[in-house]
Amino acid sequence: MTLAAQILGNRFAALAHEGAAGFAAMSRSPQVIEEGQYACAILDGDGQLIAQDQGEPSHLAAIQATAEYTLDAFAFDLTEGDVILTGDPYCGGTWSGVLTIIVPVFWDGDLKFLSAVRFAVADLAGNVPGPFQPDAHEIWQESLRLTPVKLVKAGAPQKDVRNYITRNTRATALLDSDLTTAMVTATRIGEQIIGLIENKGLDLINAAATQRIEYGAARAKTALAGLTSGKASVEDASVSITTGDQVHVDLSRMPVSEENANNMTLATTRAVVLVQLLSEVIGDAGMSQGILDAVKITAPEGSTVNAAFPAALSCGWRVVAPALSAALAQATGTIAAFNPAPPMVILFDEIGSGPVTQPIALSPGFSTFEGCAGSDAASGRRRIISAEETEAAGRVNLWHRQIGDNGVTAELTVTADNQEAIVVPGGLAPEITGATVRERSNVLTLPAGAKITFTYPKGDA
Amino acid sequence: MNKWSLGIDVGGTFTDIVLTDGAGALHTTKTPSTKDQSDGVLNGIGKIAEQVGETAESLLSDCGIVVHGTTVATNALLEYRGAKVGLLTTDGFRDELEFRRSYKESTFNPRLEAPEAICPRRMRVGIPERVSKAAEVLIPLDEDAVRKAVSFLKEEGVQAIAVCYLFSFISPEHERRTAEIINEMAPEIYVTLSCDVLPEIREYERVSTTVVNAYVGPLIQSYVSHLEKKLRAKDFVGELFIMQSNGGMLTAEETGKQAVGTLLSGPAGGVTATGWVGEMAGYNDLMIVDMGGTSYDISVIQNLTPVMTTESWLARYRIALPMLDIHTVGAGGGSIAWIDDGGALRVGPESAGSYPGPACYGRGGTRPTTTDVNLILGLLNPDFFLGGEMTLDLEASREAVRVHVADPLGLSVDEAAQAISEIVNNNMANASHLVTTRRGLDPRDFALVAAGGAGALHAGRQAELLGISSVIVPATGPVFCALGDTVAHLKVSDARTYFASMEGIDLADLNARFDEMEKAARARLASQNVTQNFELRRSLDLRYEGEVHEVTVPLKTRTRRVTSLNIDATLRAFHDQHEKLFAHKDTAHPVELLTIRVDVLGLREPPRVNGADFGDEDASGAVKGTRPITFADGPHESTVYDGAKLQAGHFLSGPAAIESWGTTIIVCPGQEALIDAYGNCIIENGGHG
Repeated sequence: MTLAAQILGNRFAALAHEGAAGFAAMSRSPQVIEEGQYACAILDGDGQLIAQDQGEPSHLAAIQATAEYTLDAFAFDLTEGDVILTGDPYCGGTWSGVLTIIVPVFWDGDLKFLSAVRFAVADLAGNVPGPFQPDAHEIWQESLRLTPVKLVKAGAPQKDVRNYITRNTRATALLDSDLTTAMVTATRIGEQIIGLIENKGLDLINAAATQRIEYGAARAKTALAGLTSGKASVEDASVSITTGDQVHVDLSRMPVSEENANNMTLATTRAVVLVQLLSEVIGDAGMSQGILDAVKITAPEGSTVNAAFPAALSCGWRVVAPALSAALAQATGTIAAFNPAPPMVILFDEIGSGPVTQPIALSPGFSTFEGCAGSDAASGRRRIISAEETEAAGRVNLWHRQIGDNGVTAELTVTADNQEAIVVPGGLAPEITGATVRERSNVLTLPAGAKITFTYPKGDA
Repeated sequence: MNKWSLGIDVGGTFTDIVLTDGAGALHTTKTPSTKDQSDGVLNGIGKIAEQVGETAESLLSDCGIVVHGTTVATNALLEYRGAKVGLLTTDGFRDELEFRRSYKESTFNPRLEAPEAICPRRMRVGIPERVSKAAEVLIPLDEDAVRKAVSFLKEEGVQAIAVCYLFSFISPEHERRTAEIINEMAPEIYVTLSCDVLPEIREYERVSTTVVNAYVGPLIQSYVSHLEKKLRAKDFVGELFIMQSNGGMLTAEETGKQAVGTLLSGPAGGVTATGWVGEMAGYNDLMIVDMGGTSYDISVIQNLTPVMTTESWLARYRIALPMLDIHTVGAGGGSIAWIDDGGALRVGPESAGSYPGPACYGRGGTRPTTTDVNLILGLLNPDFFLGGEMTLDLEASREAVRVHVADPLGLSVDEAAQAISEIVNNNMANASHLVTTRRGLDPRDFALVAAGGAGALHAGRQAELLGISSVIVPATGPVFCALGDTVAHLKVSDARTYFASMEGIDLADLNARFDEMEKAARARLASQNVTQNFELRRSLDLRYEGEVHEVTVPLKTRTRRVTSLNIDATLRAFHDQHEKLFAHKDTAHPVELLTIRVDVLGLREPPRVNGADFGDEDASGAVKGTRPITFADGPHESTVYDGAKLQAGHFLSGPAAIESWGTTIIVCPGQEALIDAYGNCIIENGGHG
């Protein structure tokens, strides 16, 4: 390992961190600020991941996989000044409503690096407002499907493309500004990479990228060396782990995908496996291709861990990921990195009442572990709502949030008129009183005064 | 008018004293810190009095003001040895302190240990009461429940009670009535209300700040009153002020009530001093780096105004008061170099501290630290550490680097030392880069001010890595925080949550609220005999409707009364600032007001320091000799200067080392240094990155 390359490798990691922190600070969307659903990465010209920072772990493998699709889609058709947008779970993503902005970085006319920002949006069409579509059977019912498209072509903004996207959301202002912020962030990182090449020379920068990937592989290998082969089955998940030169996670016995949204893409599945097996290394060394490739995963297409197009996907992270995490934990004799998903309700203005609504995810607590801070690894940098801020916003009041004998309970009442909601699958369903169900749907109509009680079982239970 | 002013800063090792008189003389000294910090303070006063031919009594009898930076509160919190605290909250919300909004310092750790409970669950009692956001009483205060809770907490032996009810920043009556009941039942208990400590929206941030105030309040109150008694016993006739985390100072009495405001009392002096030194040297935008034994602190001054934050965490507790924004990374002189299991060379965050300290201290430390590396590379002189008071063991440093880094990596000791040095320097530069870019700033636009014992060793290299043109190493570097204490203004910062849309805002009400806050802030300043010259600064926390981030925007008005024209100008400034910070603006989008802020400053005349006339450029008279120093590009035979002999106007070129008591300044090859009229060393880097 050469020192100069190590220092530049650290600079790549610092740039990804600066980009992620900057994007989170500049974003307007609650999904980014409150839920931590963002990531920022640097990749080489072949789409190999050099460095990445993220607010929560679902993005761990998705930027690299999306970059691969993007490079395929635009082979020989990328030029300086392009900005690519992808928002398709079947193009390397995780689920609908999560967008990836990629800026290609050229040197001497050749594509050398990619900088990328990935983030969740408040809404991107779909059956009901928000990212979750529990009734969906197919991807088209979940959101607008954005296959790789140029938002900026050789420096010229493609206004028609952008208008098309921002007119397909119920939260136009948030999406529009977050798109700008993501483009600015990715472009700034691209400029910094150019600055590094100017200063240090391309050869050294390439060596640094290679060394950082090899470093990730070495750290992962050491961490995985202590693992023993094993099998485990829990409800809805079966895994088999074989150790050797490369750890192999065989998910062939995972359930076949059903006609609902409880499915994951391969990128989502890889994220769960990596968090469960390598969270300590990722936390200390940061992500790179070396870590991404450290584990071989076999997941049959059409299963809940490798959904076949056009299966719906929006609830897989909440329903399938905790089960897979529990099975992996049992097979490796470790603790599960993911808890069962927290109960969640998505609240929005009555469907059809107007062109704009800002759906909010209500889940005011989390499962606590005795003597531990915060929640599970899946929650990332999520922060729970403030009672005062929520009341001031004028849609719900939080009446109570406290630890009890059976875990944490929290109680909300709806204060605004014309509110509707869906209950998101996964975790304990909240108790709702005073609501009615809309005809031919799972949408609840919540008059002012309707009460929602959330229960979060103790994490250790 | 009294002759003398004193600035006193108590650090972990030394208590620093700066004494100024009205005629422009500035005297400095250091004395070892003591367990009871007031003993060190009195020792220091005695020492400096002797220096100017006075006794402690005669000096204090003609001293108008003592400004003190103290670490009493900081140490109590960091070491978790504050008061036993009870908490009364709105029923149903007693666990907010423990939930911490689910914040985790390590995102991927599924079982991160909880912070030390400074107010354990059984000491937190819910009280039936509830007020709405519109100040309607939804549930009246259950006074019997308050009495029962106070009896329980009294029996438990709590020394302090924090009270934090929902929406008390809008309607404080329930908290005030609760305080009355506590005072009736247990007048000996320190009581602190969230509506006084942080009258702002967001209950977790408010409860955490209020509980920390209760935790450190009794200690600060007792320390300050103990110190004041000691000073009075030595004939002190002036006023005692304590440095605050907002960079201003407050009376001892006010400090006792708002103890949480002293958590950055020590480092605040350094930032204040930087503004003063920068102004004298002609720089408005400054980045201050302070390298101590375990950490490297970075803060920024823009247009001679320190950058503030309300996002601070200390000892894993959230402090939401406006404080100087000081970013800390684990890269100090004692930071340990090691090799991880992927074969990468790492430095810190583990530190050898001051005991056993670096291997070269000869106190049993065997692992290589940044200080050991600086010794091996020749940046430090083994025979002139602390002016020669301590001899460093070069061989011990070399052995530590050989065993732990050089041999495992197959490098020579010198190569390994250079590698460690570059890792440390790049870690610092990455952190400095983040501090500026996250605020939309460019580090190249700043002058770098190097403080702390080791800051000047690395500042030249930092300038190279960050592309910074100028480095200032203050002449008063060894007592920099105490210098800041002598130049600080009185300052009260107050904030109130105020929900309103900016469209059609009720100006009469806004003006009334500002007047009320200004009046209260002026009352808190109290000591009008120190200054009659006050300055009012007002600002608004604004955000686009539906957005989460707010931006603090100074109110654009030259008059006391806020008019609609002022509001329009402030809104334009908001849009521009939003674009600068968040890369976009939306002038058509409705803007909402969240918080109004007032800073009232009692302006003090800054000490007039007499600058020396520039003499000859030739610094050869200060040359002590030469020695090889290894820089990033390899070893260079470097000129070594005696800092005590350098005078205003002296000019020198790198590679060079300037040795003074307590600090060594390294001038890299290609850099030039000038001693200015105030003895500061200005290094010009020429902007080369």
